[in-house]
Amino acid sequence: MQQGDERKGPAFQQAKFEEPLLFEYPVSSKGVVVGTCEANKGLVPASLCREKLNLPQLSEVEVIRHFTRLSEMTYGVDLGIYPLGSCTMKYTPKICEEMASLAGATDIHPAQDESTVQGALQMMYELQSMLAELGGMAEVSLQPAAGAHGEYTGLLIVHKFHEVKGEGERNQIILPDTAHGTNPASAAMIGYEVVEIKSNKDGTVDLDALKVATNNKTAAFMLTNPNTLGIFENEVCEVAGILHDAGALLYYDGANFNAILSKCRPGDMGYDIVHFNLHKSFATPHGGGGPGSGPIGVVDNLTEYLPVPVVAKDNRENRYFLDYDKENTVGKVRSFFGNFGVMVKAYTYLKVIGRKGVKDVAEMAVLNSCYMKEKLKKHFPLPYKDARKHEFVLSGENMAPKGLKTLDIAKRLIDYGIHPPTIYFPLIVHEALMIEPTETEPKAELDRFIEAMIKIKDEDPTILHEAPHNAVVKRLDEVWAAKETILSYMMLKEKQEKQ
Amino acid sequence: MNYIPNLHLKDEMLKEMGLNNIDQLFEDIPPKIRIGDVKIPEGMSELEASRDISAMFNKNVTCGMAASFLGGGMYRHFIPSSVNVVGGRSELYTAYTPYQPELSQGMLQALWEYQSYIAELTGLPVVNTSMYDWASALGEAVRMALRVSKKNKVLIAKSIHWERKQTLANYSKGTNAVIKEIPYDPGTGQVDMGTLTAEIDENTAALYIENPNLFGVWEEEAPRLKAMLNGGVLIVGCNPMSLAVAKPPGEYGADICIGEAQVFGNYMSYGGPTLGMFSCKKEFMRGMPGRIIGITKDIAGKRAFCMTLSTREQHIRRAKATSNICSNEAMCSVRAAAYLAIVGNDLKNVAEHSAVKAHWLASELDKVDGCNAPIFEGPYFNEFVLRVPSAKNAYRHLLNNNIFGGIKLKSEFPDLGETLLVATTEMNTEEELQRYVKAMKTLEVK
Repeated sequence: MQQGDERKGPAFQQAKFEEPLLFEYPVSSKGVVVGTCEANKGLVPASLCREKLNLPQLSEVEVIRHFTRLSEMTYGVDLGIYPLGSCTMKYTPKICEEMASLAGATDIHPAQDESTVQGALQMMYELQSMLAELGGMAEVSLQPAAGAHGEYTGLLIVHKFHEVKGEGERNQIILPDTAHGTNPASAAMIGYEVVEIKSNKDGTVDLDALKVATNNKTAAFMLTNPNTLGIFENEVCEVAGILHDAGALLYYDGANFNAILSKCRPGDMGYDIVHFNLHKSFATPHGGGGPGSGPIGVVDNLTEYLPVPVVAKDNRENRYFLDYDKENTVGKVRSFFGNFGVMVKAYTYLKVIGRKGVKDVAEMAVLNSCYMKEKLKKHFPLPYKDARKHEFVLSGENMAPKGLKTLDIAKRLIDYGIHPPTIYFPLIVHEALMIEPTETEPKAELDRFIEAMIKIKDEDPTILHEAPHNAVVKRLDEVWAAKETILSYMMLKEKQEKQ
Repeated sequence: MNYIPNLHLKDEMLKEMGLNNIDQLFEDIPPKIRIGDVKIPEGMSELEASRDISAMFNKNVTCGMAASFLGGGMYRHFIPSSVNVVGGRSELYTAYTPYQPELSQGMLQALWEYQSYIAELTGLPVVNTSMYDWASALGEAVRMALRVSKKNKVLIAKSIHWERKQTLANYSKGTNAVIKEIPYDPGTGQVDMGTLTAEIDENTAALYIENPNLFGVWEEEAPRLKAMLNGGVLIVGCNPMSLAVAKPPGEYGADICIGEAQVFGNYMSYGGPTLGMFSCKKEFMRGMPGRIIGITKDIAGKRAFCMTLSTREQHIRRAKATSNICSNEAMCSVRAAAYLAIVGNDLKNVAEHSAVKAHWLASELDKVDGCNAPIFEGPYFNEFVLRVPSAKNAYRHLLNNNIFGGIKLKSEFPDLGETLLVATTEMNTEEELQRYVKAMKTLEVK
């Protein structure tokens, strides 16, 4: 069975082109994009003059066919379920794309006079306000370009906060062993020592372990909630108490915020700093890796530390402006004001779904996930307690007697026209399969995934070992890639010339 | 309006799970923190939203409606329709990071091709799929230089954008870097070679210069720098459009090259998404931050693509990763690849048009009483510094004439006096250039 049955419609079928590299195409006659330039002598000093520009010369039809073929060899949410855990691959409404491509949004320069970008500033101001309300935070900065960038900015605030208080000796960040890889990486970049604590038998924070780890060296604790097992940290208020009593801060990794929108707020749980992933909870497309946007929110006593500028409103004159006046600002973490184009999409999404819609999002994301969990836990082990939110983590260890691994399950799912879930994360689950369907998957698509998983469980091990059979390529030799390191056409040519 | 197909199946699905109320799924949230609602506006139809948002953005004065001479790291270039068609392919823009390479072969190839273009332009073979922007790329480049050199003195040219300096100041937290600024020669606008020579010592980890620099001025001495550095790392930043006509930094000794590749097929969008370009020489590849795509083969021997050298990255190495970056600007890289594929060697024309216009404008403005342009003698690309009697007045007067006349430099570079940083691209028409000159003449009369 390589296809979904008739009733549920066909599964994704990847195109199989033998598409050459742009650099391998023969030279074509090409149209003129801007026209040649007269009077071009002496523009570059002799010491810096390029001898030759040697880019592929292709006609427009070849370029369009090339990229169209490449797109047809790529799986996106617009083709089917994409249940990567902690990635929140929800459908991204098309109106958001359209609003972000209006000339009034695309054709403005960040150095324009404020009087000429009032619409842009209004959007940013209103988005800041909506995010602050959703997170239970006092103020929001839209500057960070992605979730990890938000973490980094948030930890810069943690650092400065303690420094200003005269407690610069706090040099440790505590994390649970379920944390996303970006958490320890962000902490380490700022020079923090990372202290990891083990989760308890329920898969949540072990309060005793946290108490032992927390002391006057602790700068902050980073905790996503629900955590990466999809379990709500129901002792989060106690966690906050432990940290605050020790003079440390609590940081919210917003990767899993989708599960609790309008159900509870990080601010009410005792979190001090939050980052939001607009490319997850707020339906902006992931773009094969980006661009994302990772705004951060902070509670009242940290607003003076936010990066500058934030967008403010002069209510008397009904005018929006860029506010650089933050006494203890951490400064800049990038150029300009953030990934504005991405913000427009999230703003449009929130405008359309509104107050009631955000609640439906959380409820249906959790419902879809729990529905799948209930059906699948009879077939694959579900470690830790049962209650789950928007995602759940199964273990593929029941396949071991047949000599199979989670990787084999994932690759076999591809043959069913389904994108595999996140695998081998979180690290505390052996042979993890981390599944997050999101609220935008039709029930038939959930059922198709469930059925595929159940079928795969009992398939001939050889078929799984050699999967995928039905993709444009067979299983890849990723070790070869790391050994040969052919990272550009320049390196490919060099390698070919040597042979 | 919502995008939730199972909303009407809520009760049916709950029942199938032996539940009767959705709230039962949220009972694990402690009652004291549960909320019933949030105070954000009610939702609306797509029609209403589209009307509202269009009206809001109509309040903006776009560069297309005015005449824009703004640059400073972000430039308005022509975007061929075909680039938007590629950028609109939803298989690509709704894909995730290619963790399952078999299903993302197309995206992976497109990103590898982006890497290949940047390698060609910068003369450095190892390229990542993107950093957030130029400023964070600078932060990462300096961190990488500290790692590979195991030294701590970092010299940076003063003639770079202040936002990049501020970002670097943050990115160097947690390192032992000592950052020192090298002034520019007040006559040429180029790095002061005397000070630079004096500052280089055995602790020098890296030198960062931009070429062209913030003032648009070419650093003619750049090819001499690597030899002066005692093995320190040479990092060159640039507007990559300049590389269509300028020597690839890799050919004159740069170890790392960074820049803002938004200029290739991406809109300005009020400053983001941006596209941080990052390339380096082969010896440094294992110290690189960010995602890198490599060629590989499948078990049948067929050519394929996958993310590689991932053991540098946060999802594997956690606290020991070379960087925390995860989501990047991949779709902007695909747009850049599509742009470069469409434009091909015409890129030279884009760069030349951009520069020629700046040269014409500068020479005409220089004739206007009270104006001096460019204020530096060093040769320049598509951007120059204009000195006027009052930058504030000139800026305002130009704005009143629907001209975005430049970026005021006074607060960051008070030593230059009353100045505007003025940029041109192929998008500026002859009429716009003349309008600029005319406006400055009328200011003079006033």
